[in-house]
Amino acid sequence: MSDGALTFLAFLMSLVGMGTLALSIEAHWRQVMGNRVRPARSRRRLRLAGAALLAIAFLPCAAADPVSMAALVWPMLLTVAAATVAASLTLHARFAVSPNRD
Amino acid sequence: MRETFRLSMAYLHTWLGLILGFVLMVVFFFGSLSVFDREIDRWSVPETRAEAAPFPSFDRDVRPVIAQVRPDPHSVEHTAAEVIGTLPAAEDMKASDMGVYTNHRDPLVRMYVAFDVPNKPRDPLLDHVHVYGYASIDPQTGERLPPDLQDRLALGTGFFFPLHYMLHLEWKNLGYWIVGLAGMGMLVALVTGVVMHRKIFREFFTFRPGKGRLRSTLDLHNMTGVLALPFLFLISLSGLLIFAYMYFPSPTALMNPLMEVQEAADAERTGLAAEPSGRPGGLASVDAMMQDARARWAANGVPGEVGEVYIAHLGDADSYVSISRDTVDRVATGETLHFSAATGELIYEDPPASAVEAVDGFLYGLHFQFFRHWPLRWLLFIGGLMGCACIATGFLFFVEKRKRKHAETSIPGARIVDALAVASVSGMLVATCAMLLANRLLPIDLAGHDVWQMRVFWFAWLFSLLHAAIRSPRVAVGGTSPAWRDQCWMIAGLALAAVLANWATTGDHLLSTVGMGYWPVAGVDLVLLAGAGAAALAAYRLGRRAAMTSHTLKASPETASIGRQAHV
Repeated sequence: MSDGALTFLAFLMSLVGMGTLALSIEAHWRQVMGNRVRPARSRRRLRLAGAALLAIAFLPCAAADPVSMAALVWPMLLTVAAATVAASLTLHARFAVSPNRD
Repeated sequence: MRETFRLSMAYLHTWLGLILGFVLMVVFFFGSLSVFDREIDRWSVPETRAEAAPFPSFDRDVRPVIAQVRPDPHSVEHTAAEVIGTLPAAEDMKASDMGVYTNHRDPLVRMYVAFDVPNKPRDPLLDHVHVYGYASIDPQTGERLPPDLQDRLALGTGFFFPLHYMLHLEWKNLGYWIVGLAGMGMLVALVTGVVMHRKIFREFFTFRPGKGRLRSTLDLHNMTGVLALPFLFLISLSGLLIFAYMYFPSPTALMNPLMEVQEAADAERTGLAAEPSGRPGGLASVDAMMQDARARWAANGVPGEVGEVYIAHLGDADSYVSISRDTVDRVATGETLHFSAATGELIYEDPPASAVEAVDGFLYGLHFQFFRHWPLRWLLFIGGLMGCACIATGFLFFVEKRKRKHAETSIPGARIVDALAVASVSGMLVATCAMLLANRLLPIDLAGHDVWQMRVFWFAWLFSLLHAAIRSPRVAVGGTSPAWRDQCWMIAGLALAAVLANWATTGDHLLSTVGMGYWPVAGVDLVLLAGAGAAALAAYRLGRRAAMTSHTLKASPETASIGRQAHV
């Protein structure tokens, strides 16, 4: 895999990881899943899975670049992934949920 | 002291942010632009729009230029003020040290030559006083750039980059000190911000634009601050460390004698003479030394282009040549081999970095960003802009929170802060876009071409402040200043005009630059267009909201008055 593809893979993993972390937060779960009941203990599991994905996302970064560079690419990818998740949650609240509210 | 620790931290955060936020806005915005300084240079000096090229032959192309370089009049003037007595004539000054450098993004090789002066410095701690001369070489042809082109103001490295660390305030290094204070303030603001934030994890991803202005502004302020926290912290810290020698001058002041001893010990250990011997010496083939260096780097399995050639004590028997690698593959810079100038033999090789040096090199390198990694470059650019968004929303929150109360009690605070915020957020963008436009439209043969661009920048900024002040009365009654919307339209117009002017004056329109894959110019144009689009959208929505507010106020004057009475 090319370095660019590896970096993109790391970004996708960060995106899914951040999304999973967001689902572990009560307000966002309700926002995305509606009134669907959340299984017991899922909060902890979602949080662990999300954190694990974010940690593993360092591996493709380290495969693409020397470790010192990866140490910079990885946190920056996490930041942008978190901002992307936050933006999509905001847009979701705006366009997808509003019909239910009325 | 406030009632609780959290409240006292909130108090510190608010007032420190208010005072230093204006400086931080400038530092973060022009710092973000500096991530692409070389690219902005290409855009603003179209004659240099060429592909980056590797270091040319030193013996054939660079060496003949050394003898041609003469002391720069500005440098002579600067040094004359620093020394006792009058300087010798420029023709009589002797070149002592010189550096020639380029990197993987530069289509130019730049060089400086340091000339010795016999005068004693006024400040006894200033141990090396020199006068400098400059030249640039086109590595493709090996020819020296004509003087007018070499001295032309390149907006990236020549204006925006220094603006972000010294604000172009040279008097007594005042700009460096203000930026240093602001950087320190940024660290304090980050720590106090974390302390005062009640729901860091619960509101990690939260932005609620529909929940009222106050809430949504704070959401955006918190989100940009928290998500970019590692970046914001490291970039502020590393920026402070770069100028730490200036803020904490003890090594060059109080402990100067110790430093001189250390310098001598280093010279003894490495074999690299700190002072010239006074005996004449020659200069062997530097190309051969570069060849040797490239072979050693290849043997280590690292990318091996030459980034800088430095020659100490030119023409002396103890002269040496230091060849540094263009460290495209890592964050830390400075991997250097030192050769004897006379024989061309390797004298000393920089040892692997110690733990402290490695951390220092990483922090320094993450701020200077000499590496070749375009995704990372964009990520750092985005990080910088998130810092800008955090600071700007901090101002907005300050105003939003107070403007009703200030309106009722006739305090001008919110109005003044709002006008200053307009000038330092949208006004800064107006000034930047106006400067880019002026860069393309002012005729090249105009006397003071560079100075006029700077004048356009500063006057556009001053204009934006006046405009913000004139348009601010609505804030005094608890409304939104129409200056935000006006200036967003100005940004959109100026940015679009800059792209069109680039096309008109150079013929490089986006279809051709993207088609050829010439990204330095295409990238600047695309960011300008994206900025114009975002500014136009913001202006449109601000306008729509203003229309809606005035409509509701007119339609139901009673509810409005009821609302106001309740507050009193």
